Amino acid sequence: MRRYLGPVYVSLMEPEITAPSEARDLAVRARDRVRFEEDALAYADDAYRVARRLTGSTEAAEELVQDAYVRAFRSWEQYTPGTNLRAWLLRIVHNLAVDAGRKRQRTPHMEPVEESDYYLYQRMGGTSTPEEADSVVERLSQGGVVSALAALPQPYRDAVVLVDLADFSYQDAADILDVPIGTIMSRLHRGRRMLKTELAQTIENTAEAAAS
Amino acid sequence: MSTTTGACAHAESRMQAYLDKLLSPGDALIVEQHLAVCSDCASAYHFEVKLRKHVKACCGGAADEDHCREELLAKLKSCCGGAADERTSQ
Repeated sequence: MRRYLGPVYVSLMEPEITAPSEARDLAVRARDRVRFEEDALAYADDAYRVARRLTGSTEAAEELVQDAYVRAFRSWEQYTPGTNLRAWLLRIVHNLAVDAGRKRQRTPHMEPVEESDYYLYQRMGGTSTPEEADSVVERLSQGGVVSALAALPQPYRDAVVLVDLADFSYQDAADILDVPIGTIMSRLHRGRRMLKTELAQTIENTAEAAAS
Repeated sequence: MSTTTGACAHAESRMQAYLDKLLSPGDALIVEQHLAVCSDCASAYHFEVKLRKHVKACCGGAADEDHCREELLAKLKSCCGGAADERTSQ
């Protein structure tokens, strides 16, 4: 009888031995996940700041941040503890924004011409006082500036958006985009020049439209 | 620039790095000394400063960046479940 019940005895005993270990593992995992989510949520403002600049509207930015956190929470175990969580999270925000942009923009993109650093200043006639500089720059409409930025190729726009608009350091931008810091510097340099060229074109187009 | 000199060209080549505060103190001083004596480059410098502020203001200011973390958490609760759920139910 006892011999017959042997397997039952073993099968009943095994859970008693392994259950505490499994429960402990589950508890550790749950604790790690809670900690991950708390740490990730601490960067919600940064995520929103990037999303706001990459999307152009508050509604789209909120949706993007929400999608990014959903993805991050679902794949939280892919994050390596001790590495840069902020960059990991913001990379998800950026990748989702790029994916959404690809869906929207199916036409091939022309590479904008790149002029010198003072190109726009010279095209706008130069100025002689700081007050004059203010009034000349104010001639650039919000719509024109947004369109000019949108016309930049994605890698250059990303660098300008992260560093010049969202105030991230070169190193942070490099971490977010997962490229060397030297790449950020060169993309930023070219991106700023391209933006000025695009702005000059916007002014020309506006002037032509007004004249016709 | 009506009287562009080698110093003007040097200042222009360093302008973006100067605005980014990436120049060494020595290089920054050279640019500042040139801006103090060259009205053309000083005007261009003011233009660049103003342009950066204007572009930033046009492409989404800071006014709506006071983002509500609780609102995000509530949305995530319905999407993800998991720990976000447990935390908000406490």
